Amino acid sequence: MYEGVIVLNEKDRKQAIETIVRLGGEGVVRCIQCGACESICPMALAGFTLNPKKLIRLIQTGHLEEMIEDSSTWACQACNRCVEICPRNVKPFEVVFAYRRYQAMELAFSTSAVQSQMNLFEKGHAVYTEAYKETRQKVGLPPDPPTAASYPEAVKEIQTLIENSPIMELGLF
Amino acid sequence: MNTMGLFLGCNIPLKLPDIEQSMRKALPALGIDLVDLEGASCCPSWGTLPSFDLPTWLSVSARNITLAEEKGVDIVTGCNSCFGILAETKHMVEHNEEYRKTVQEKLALINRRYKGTSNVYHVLHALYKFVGPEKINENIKYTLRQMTIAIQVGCHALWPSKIMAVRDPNPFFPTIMKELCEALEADVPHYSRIEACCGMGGMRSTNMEKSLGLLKEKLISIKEEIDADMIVVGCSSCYLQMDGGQKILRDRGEIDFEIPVFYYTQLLALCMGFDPKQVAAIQETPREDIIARIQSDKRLKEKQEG
Amino acid sequence: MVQVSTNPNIELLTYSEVEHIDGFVGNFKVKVRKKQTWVDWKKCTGCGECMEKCPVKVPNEFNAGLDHRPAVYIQFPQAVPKKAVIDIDNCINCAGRKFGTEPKISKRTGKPILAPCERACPAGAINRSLALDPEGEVVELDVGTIVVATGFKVMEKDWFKEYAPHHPDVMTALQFERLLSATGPTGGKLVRPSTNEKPKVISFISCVGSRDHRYHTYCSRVCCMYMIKQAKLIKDKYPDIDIYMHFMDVRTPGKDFDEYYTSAIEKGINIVRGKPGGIEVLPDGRLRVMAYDAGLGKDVEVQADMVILATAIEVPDDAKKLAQTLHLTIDGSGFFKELHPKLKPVETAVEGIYLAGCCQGPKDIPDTVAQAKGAAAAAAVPLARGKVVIEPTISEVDQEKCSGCGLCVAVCPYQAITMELVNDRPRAKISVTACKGCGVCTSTCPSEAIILHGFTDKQIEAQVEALTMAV
Repeated sequence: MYEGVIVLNEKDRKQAIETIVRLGGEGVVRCIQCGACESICPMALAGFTLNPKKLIRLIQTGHLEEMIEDSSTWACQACNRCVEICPRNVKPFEVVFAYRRYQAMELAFSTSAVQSQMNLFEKGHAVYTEAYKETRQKVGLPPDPPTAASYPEAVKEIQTLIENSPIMELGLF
Repeated sequence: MNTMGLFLGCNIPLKLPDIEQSMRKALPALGIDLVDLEGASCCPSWGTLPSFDLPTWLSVSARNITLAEEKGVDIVTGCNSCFGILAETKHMVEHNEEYRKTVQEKLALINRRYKGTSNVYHVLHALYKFVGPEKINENIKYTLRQMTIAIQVGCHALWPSKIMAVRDPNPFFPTIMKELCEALEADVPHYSRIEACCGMGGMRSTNMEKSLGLLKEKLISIKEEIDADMIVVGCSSCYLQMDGGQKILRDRGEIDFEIPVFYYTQLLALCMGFDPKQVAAIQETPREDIIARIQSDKRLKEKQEG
Repeated sequence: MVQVSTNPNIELLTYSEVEHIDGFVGNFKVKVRKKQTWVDWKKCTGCGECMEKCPVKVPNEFNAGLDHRPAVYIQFPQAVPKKAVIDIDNCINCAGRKFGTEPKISKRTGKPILAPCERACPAGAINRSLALDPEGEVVELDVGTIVVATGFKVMEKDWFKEYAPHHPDVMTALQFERLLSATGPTGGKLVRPSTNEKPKVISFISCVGSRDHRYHTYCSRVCCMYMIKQAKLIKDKYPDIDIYMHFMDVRTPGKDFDEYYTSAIEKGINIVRGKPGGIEVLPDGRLRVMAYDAGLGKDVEVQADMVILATAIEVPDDAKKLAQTLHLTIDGSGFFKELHPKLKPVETAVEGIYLAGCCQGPKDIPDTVAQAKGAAAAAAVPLARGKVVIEPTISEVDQEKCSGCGLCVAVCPYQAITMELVNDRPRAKISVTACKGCGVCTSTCPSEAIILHGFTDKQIEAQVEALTMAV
């Protein structure tokens, strides 16, 4: 095996594509690698190693594990500019998110992602800060917002939804 | 009088309640009555459930929509992330039989059912459609004549346009927010990076440096090309980035200028004469001076028209 | 075109529309509306004096909207016939000179006050006192065969929101072609519409509207070559202009075409493989093309003075209407459908009607000419032979069983069935040339009066028996 060569094989390719399609990125099979998404993607413009085009090509050539530790997929803003201009209806952002779900289920995510997730489960809000009551009163609002933060039944409903999902297998809560 | 359900999200009610106040003050005064959606949770944000499990994302999101359906109102929201998530959910559930079935099954666990009777509007779109620039102009007390605004609509209010109830005729060269700011009589010139992403969101939590890199490009485009008096955003996340991120860049010496930032309804509320201590009180880049300039005697609209 | 107009065996009807056809191969009756020109073509000499005097300005279709033309105009200098027409919808009827009215008499001179075009014409071809029929004139032609060659149009740039279509220096390749033409809006001077100055950097973008699920999924076939042609022409004349060409793929197949492409590279034209995702407008009015280079695997940027979009070619807007008039099919891409994609590229499902050129699918000039010669030959054969060979597996009405209900007439997709009187009773009759043996009438007829030769009940039962014998 030459150092600089990747050997292509159909088995890996089929498995990678099947995984991504199952996780919601069915457009991955349609991509012709035109590059339009990468040319305007904030991730690419900011200089991250991965972006929709590169990720799709990696998946199309059978790579699934090799980039699992690359956190740049978590930099996708879901801005959807790629979806707006893709000529093949790939919906590249959905492929990135499908891969994120793969990374998440293999516990390859950032700590900030975990924190938000735990906040969501415990308080009903991904972004949470203890100081909110004070800040709200300062601007003349009642200290308790009419959101899940003030309604434990709402949080219970969210928990029920999350408990009945594969996310529980991650043992975060 | 239009009644809409105010979907708050997380950042606005917990970190930036002055934006919440600005909406609660300005919208009813312009004919949009707001009701609360008690128990609304995080939309859920892109970095949470959508990145872990698709059906769970859609269910939690659909649950939020059912709160509005129960009250028979459409949803209006100020956070672009919430807008994107809810609009995307509505589109996916209503166009994909499989997703719809899964969502109904999961919602049944909490005795809820998705009906599809509520539309999802971004606050800019709701103001544009249900109030309109003309009526806004009639209702302002202070004019922003001869002030320059750099607009930042925010990605999720522009793309994907297909799923939105109201859309910009050309999302790459947005005009809805431009017209809403022109309704306040300000100049809203074009700058080359007008449609660019500010860098906030998943990117900032993944790599602060790269995120600030995008912000810097935007700020420099604004400063060098149009030297705006203020930046007006349509998204609470963009607000945190363009205001707080701006301060970080300044502290590091990467930029040497200061441009105050407003969320659109904050600026609208100020022009309508509401109290800045309620509607525009939380910022990292100082706004006192510009607020004083705006709510000054010489900017009273009736004086100018005479 | 001049050869066509001077050929004694060809009657050229321009400024006309086909409105209706009846009949079948060898015996078509075609109604053609000769639209009202408002100018007497028997007198008009094509001098163009009327154009000089008309005050109206309307976007000039021939120059793809880059400049204006008057309401009375000759379409372009090489028009055949070179005669003027009045665009009556935009004519402002100067001096109140609506067609069919008498002119006012000048109190000063005692002479009639005429419109500028009337006065200007030295041949007296414009007479606004005449009550000309705005509907024009309908003529009926007896023809044996028909060739449809209605051509194409290009997509307008307004569809492509990410490419700053509102900016004057962004234009379609067709507009650019007119800009470069010696008879175009600038007399062939290459200038930026926004500043009237020579550009320094030009970007070409391919596949705009083609190969795109949002617009047309097909490849427009001709763009790669014409873009390279335009680029080479510019580089030859102005070597100091920087040219970037953004391709998804480069498609230059066949004789000499790949060599044309590689010679462009050697001339210093930059080929960038990647579809640009957007264009931003810089403060000085220049354009920032946000592009991608597959070779580098990185995003690249070109700061251009002009951007040329190779937009998709498609059938003209009235193609559907023409297809309905001629009983032709239009395929999923909008083009006229040929009878067989490989073996019958010029025939259609209607015997006697043939296709040539871009109306059947995107193609360039040599292919169009070859197909046109094929269509002409195919159209001439039945006329020369005096007879046509038809399939035997067609439907036939047993008029004794026919009740005259007329249901079959309504369902026939080929308009092959008519009602005729037999002993004062209406009975269905199927045209042997028009019938294609689809069988819809056969299954529709409530009286079971129609048989489809080759597929009678007895014949089908026999086939089933033979197939099931082994079981």
